[in-house]
Amino acid sequence: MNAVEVSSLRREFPGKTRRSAPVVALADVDLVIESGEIHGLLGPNGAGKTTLVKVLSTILIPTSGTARVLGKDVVAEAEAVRTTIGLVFGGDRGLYARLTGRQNLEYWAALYRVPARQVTATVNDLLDRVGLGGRADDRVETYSRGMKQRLHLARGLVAAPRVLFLDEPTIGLDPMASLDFRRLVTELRAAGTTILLTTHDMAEAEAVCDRVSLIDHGRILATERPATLGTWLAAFGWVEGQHVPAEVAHRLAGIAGAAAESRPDEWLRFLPSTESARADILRELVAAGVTAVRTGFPSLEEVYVRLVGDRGMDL
Amino acid sequence: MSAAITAFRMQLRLALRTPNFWMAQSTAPPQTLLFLSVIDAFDRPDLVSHALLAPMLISMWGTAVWTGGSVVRDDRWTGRLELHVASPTPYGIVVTARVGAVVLLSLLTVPITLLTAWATYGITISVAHPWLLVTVLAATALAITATGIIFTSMTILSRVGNTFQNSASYPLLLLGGAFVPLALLPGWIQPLGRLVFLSWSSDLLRDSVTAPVVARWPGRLGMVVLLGAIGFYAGHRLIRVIMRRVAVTGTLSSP
Repeated sequence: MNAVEVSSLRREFPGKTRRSAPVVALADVDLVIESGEIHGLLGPNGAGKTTLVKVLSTILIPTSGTARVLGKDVVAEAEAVRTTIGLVFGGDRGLYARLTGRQNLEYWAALYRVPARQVTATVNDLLDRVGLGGRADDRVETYSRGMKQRLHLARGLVAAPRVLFLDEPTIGLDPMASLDFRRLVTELRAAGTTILLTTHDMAEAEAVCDRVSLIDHGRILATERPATLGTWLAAFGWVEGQHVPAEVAHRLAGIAGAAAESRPDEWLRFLPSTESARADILRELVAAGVTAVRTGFPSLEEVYVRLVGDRGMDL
Repeated sequence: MSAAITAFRMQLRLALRTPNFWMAQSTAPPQTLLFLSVIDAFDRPDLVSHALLAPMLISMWGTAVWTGGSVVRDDRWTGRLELHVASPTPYGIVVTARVGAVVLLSLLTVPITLLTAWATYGITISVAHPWLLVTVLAATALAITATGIIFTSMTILSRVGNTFQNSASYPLLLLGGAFVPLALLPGWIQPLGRLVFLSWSSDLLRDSVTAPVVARWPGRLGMVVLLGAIGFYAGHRLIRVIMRRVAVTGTLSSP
C-alpha cells in the first residue's frame, strides 16, 4: 500500500476582496509516496508546500480532489489518519514556553494516546535522541531556537508515527544539528517510517530523500530521484571557459540561447538549452584557442532554479 | 481519559505561571470591598452573603472566560492549535479539561473574598449548610466550565469571539443573579434568567449560607447540573462546527 496518494488535489483560498479571484494554493496535484519512502518537496515560498502538508495532516480541507494517507481519506476518515501521522512545523513556535521540555513531550504523548506506562520511557528516549536529555527539566523559554526545533522533532515522533510530515524542519538548526537531523531521518527510514519533507535546502534533499518533487504555484513540476533530476536536465549542463575573448563570448551567447554568466577568476559559464548547443559551444571555445575549458551538470539547486525560474523574492 | 487528565494537570501548571490567571483573581478583593462598602453605607448586614457571593461568581466566571479564552487564543497565535487539530484527541476534550483546570483554580476566590471581608470590615461568615454549599460550589464550577466552553470556542473566530465575550458576559452575570438575586430584577426578565444555570446556583449558594431550611434543594441543584450539561453539549457542538469551518476557510492559524 502506498503511504500517501494524492489525486487532482485542489485548494483555493478566498481572494483579498469578495470580487477578487480565489488564490489557488494547490492546483490539481497528483502525488504518490510509497511506504517507507523519504520524499522531498522543494519549492519557493508560496509554492504550496505547507498547504499540501496541512491537507495531508487533516488541518485543511481540500477544495476538490482526494488525498489518502495509508489508504484513509484525510477528510472522511480524518480521525483514523491522525492516529498514524506525526507533524513537525519549522521554526520555534508550537511549544509551551513556560513548561519544561519533558512536560511538553508528556503532554503531547497523552494527546497521541501513548499508553501511560510507556510515556516516561518514550519521552526520555526521544529527549536523548535529539540531544536534549541534559536540559529536559528546564523551561522551554530558556532554550535556544535550535533546541526548540529539536524538541519539535521529538514532539513529532512521540507516537512513533508511520507517516511523518516535516515542514521545513531544519529552520534554525546549526550545521551540526542539521547533520544530526539527517542521521535521525536515516534512522527513521531504517525503522520503515514514511517521511514527506518540505525544504529549501537542496543539499538536505539530496542527502536524505529517495525522491524529490518540485512544486511551484501549486503544481508539481517534476518528481524524480535526486540524482535523476540532475541528469534529467543534463541537456542544461553548463560549459565554462577561462579567459574567453569578448568577441567569442558574444558569439557564443547567441548559440541556442546560451546565456553567459561571469564566474570568479575570469571563468565564463555558458548555460545552453540543448545538448547539441553544449557541444557547439565546446567546439567553438577550443577553436577560439581557449585552453581552460570545463563542463558540468546542474546540482539539484540549479535544476530547481531552471525549472521554477529565477523568481528572486517574487511570490 | 488519559489525555484529559494530562491536559488538566498541564493547565494547572501553566495557569499558576500565567499573569492572566492572577489578574483575574486580583479583581476579587476590590470588588469585595466595593460591595461591602455599599452594604455598610446602608447598614444592611443581612445582605453580607449577597455582597460576598458577587465577587466570587464574577471572578469564577471571569477566570473561565478570560483565562479559558486565552487557552485557545494562545494556542492559535503560537501555532499550537494546528498541531492539536492534527492529533488524535479532539480539541473539545482538551479545551474542556483545560478550562476545568482554571475554573478549579478560580475557587481560590472563595478564601480570597472571605479574607478580604475579614481584613477590611472584620466580617466573618457562619454557614448554615456547609455540605450543601460545597456541593453547590462544585456543581457551579462544573457548569461554569461547561458553559465557558461556548465562550472559549468563540475565540477561535477571534474578532467576533472577543466581542462576544465582552458583550455576553455581563448580561449573563446579571441574569445569573451574581450581583443581585434574580427575584429583585423586573418580572419580565425573570423567566429569561431561569434559563441561566447561574441563577439557580446563586440562589442556592445564598440559601445554603443563610436560610434555616433550603427548600427543594435537590431539584434546584438538578437544574444547575441540567443547564450545565446543555451548555456542555452546545459548547462541544460549537467547537466541532467552528473547527470544521476554519478547516474549510483555512483560517485556523489566523482569523
